[in-house]
Amino acid sequence: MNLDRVSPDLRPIAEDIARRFGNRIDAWDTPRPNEVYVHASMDLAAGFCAHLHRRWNVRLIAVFADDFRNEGGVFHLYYALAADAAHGFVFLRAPVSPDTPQFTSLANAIPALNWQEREVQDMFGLKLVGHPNPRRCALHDDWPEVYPLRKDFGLHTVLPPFQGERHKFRQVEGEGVFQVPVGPVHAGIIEPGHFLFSVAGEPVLYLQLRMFYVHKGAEKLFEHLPPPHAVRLAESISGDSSFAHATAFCHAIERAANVEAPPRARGIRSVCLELERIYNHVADIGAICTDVAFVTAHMHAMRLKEAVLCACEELTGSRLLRGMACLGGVRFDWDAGQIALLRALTARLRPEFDSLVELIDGSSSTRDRLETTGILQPKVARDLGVVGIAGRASGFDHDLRRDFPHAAYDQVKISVPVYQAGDVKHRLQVRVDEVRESFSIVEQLAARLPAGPVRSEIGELPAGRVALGYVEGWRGEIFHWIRTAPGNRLARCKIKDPSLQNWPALSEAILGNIVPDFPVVNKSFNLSYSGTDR
Amino acid sequence: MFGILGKSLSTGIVTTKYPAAPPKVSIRARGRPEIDWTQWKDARPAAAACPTGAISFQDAGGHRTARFDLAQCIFCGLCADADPAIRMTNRVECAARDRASLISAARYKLGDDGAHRQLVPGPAPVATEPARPPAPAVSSPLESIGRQIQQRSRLIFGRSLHIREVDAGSCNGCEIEIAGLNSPVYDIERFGIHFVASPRHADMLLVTGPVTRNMELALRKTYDATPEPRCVVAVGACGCGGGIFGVNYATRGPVDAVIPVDVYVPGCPPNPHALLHGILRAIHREQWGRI
Amino acid sequence: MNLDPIHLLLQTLLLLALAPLLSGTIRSWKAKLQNRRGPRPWQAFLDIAKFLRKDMVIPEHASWIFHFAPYVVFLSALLAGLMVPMLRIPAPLSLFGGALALVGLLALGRFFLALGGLDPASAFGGMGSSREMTVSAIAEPALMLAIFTVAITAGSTDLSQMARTTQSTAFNLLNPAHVLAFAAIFIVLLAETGRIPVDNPATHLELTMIHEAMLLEYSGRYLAYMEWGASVKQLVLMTLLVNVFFPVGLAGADAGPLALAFSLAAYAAKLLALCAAVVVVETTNAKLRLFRVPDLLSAAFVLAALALLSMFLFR
Ligand code: SF4
Repeated sequence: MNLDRVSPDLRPIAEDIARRFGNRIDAWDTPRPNEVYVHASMDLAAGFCAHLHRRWNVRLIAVFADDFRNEGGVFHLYYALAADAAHGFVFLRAPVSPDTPQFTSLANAIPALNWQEREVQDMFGLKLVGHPNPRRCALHDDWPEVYPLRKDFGLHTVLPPFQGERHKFRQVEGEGVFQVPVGPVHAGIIEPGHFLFSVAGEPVLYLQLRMFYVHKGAEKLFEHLPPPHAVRLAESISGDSSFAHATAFCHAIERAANVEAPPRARGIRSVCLELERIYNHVADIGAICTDVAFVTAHMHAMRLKEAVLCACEELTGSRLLRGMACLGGVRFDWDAGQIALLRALTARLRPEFDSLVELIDGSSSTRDRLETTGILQPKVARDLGVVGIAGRASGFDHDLRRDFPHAAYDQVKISVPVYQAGDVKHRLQVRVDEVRESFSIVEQLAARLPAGPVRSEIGELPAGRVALGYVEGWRGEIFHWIRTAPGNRLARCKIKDPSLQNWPALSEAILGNIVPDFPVVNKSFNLSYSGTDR
Repeated sequence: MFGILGKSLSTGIVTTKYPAAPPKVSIRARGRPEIDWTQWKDARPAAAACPTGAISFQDAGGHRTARFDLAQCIFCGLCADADPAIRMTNRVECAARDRASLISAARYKLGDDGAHRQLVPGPAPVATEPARPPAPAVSSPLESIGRQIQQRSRLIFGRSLHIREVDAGSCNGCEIEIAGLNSPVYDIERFGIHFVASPRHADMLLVTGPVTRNMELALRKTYDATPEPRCVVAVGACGCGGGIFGVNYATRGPVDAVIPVDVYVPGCPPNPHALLHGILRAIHREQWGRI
Repeated sequence: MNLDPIHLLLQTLLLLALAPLLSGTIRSWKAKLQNRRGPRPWQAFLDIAKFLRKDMVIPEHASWIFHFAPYVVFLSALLAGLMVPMLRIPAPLSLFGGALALVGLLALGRFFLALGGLDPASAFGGMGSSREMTVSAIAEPALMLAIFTVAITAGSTDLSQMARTTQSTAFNLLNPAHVLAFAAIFIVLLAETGRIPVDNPATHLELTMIHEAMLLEYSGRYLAYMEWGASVKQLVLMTLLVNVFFPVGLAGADAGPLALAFSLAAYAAKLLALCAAVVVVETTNAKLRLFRVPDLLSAAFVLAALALLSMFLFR
């Protein structure tokens, strides 16, 4: 075992793992200094995660499986852990034999894993042992017994059309309790999902979520596309995070190929990520206002968002920054005129945005609706591993831009807003603070964008590499984990959108609130259905 | 209170003049690609570069039929990077009432190296549609009374249109732009067009996304809950042609694989001008000024 | 009671024509304050005309109530409208007890509206209906009390008689009882017509709706009647405010065409001023939390009660 490659920050943790679990570890793999893989058997998982969490405050960011039967005769289960303070990732890789396709659930100890473990069960047919609620999650109840992410399941398999029971919700009973089903088609211009409220009068007693209505087989599709095409698919994981997802994917490929994007490309990436953050945050601020019927603020927000989208079109050719990301950098360089436009944009938007915030702060009826609504307690948020805006509004101080600097975030100063209150008002406040922060990041980067090329060449991908790409999108942390296959293809692409992690928190935040407040609470999280369902 | 009114009044009306004025689209914007059919030397590099299969070809007997399907195109511009005969324009108004009119094709005589030797003159052969499961019968077959309905809808919806937006599986990119139609800049209400909460109030379904297996039934139910006369507009590359997702184990592909579609609005996602154009085209008003 | 058929017909037509126009005007002005061009004021007409010509989709579990409700809602509002003087005193219709009958008719309409919302047994309809009844349980007494304030001065519950009294020089338009009652009815107007801060007429969010939620299952003709009825009801309440409480320019029984024209102009001006007030309230406020709505309406009730009280105190 050689830990020399491990980055100095991460080394103490690696050494501790070696000391403590050394005799039970089969192998080590350190493809990159901040990415360490520990190969061990499954029964190590619970103790391993618990120890790292206690001793090093390391958090579990994802659990996923990989069909490794063709190469090694087994399935692999990965537990991905992030050590924020040490700026590194630790993976535990455990084999699961196809003869006994089952694995032990950690969801009792780590509620954040609830959905992810069930997704592994649905997509790979690995049975969960000891899960508190092992019902179907990613595939609806009417799906036949298929395991789409196994290699022997064809992408184009034609399944019989939908029939029968979609999902058996739990019944909530009691005097005066009745159930209000909402969806999957919602009344607004939003994505489909099914909510079942159990209410007593107006207060909500219990909220059950049914997602995965827009499951499009994206992870499977990744295995069939050459990487340059897959970038375009990554853009369609969640349209509002097009650039963030595409960049996370490119980042993963670049890490697998051991190529780094040139400095200018990284600067441009950061600017684009911030533009994406600005337009989404501004839109959300407006949408939160419209959900409490303060339409005036909404309209001003929409106007600002439109200005950002037009600037994006001028900078990248697409209003949603599509077609800009590419492997090894970005597709289009910016001339002086475009950079001037960027600076003019922030100069113009800053005062406009301030007056929008003033408008909202000045409206006492709006404030009254937002304060103490939909509180997500910091403790609950921690247990559920809530990330991103919602996490920061509930006391979770982390941000990949600061803790794992990617793109050009090592070049700028970033302060992360963190609040403890966890209500709608503070989720709004996090957005307000972040937009201001984004303006300043864009200005800093636009002022000194390094010269040079915007793209490094990436040849054919070597087979059998694993890599994690990460980006702090506007909603929270986005991970793309890949394993490469021969012939410039991917054997697996696991996508982790922050929404998947945050949905269950919505059920917690709405408890005790009244039904008509649900839309604004939901909007304050604004999670992506498509990013969850893929 | 005065602050709010003051801000509103000082900002003034910001709505565009479109469609009376041409759409404001950056010259750098990527709209529909244009292929110079006569100068096209070889379809293979562009077809290989195209992530969605919008550009494809078929070789048979020393001839090649090259085909471009605008409905599937995500306007990424990779084809233009790969082939000098293809150029990206910033034209975004591409809505069509007829699926076939989005497809263009040409026939070439092939050289020994597989490149095009010469364009075969005459009307391009109608390229065959990609194989897809036939659209299942819907409760009231629109086709049979198509013309009548069209007349009636023109009469009825001309000045008042209620739209129900249905996301049948999109990535939410289209939703961002559709929501933009309610912004003060595009302000769809000035046409007497309104988004509504219930399919029963709706005249038009604006459907996005490759229809997923899980949403198929919901989409069909929504369609059945919409009173006649009604029309359906498919939005985006995914809604029009399946987009980058196409047909797989979890998706049924384009919207017209599930319910009949009256107007297709290509784009990924379509520019708000393009959406306005498509919606107005569906009610035969795309040429008009404000009223 | 002597019916004047021409007057009756005229007022009916005026009600039907003016009501959607008023809703449309409010919508259009609101749009302007939202920095957009917005719909034309007569858009509401085109919408109703369109819905009248559309087919209907009837929910599976609907009973006769579902079919019956739109007509009751529409006709009750219309009938109530005929009892309020619009252009000329007296109003064409005066049923038993005037103001009482008016409040009763509005209640009947609302009752059927709520039943129609409940009937198809959809979750949102039920939710909307129960909310509507909660709101009206307080709004109705407040309305009643406020009207009584004037009725006592007039010594009659007949609305035309009340208007005549307020018009007479002896009556001080700015006396505290009157102003309080006016304020009370303005709040009731906001609540009863589903406006911010009670309800949001422009919302797409089925979970927050009150009025719209009850209409979700309606389509075509029925929807047209429901919407039309709602706008007539709004006009009735507004007319009540501007003509019974503030009958400036209202023509008398024997008015000639010139006086009638002047009356129409005054009426229109007053209505537009009231619309402007509604628009300002809707633009500058957010919606209240649902459980705060009763507080607002109780305030209206208290205002009305104070009005009644001060009636006796400052006589
Ligand atoms: S999707 Fe459209 S723009 Fe992109 S490569 Fe294909 S044809 Fe060209």
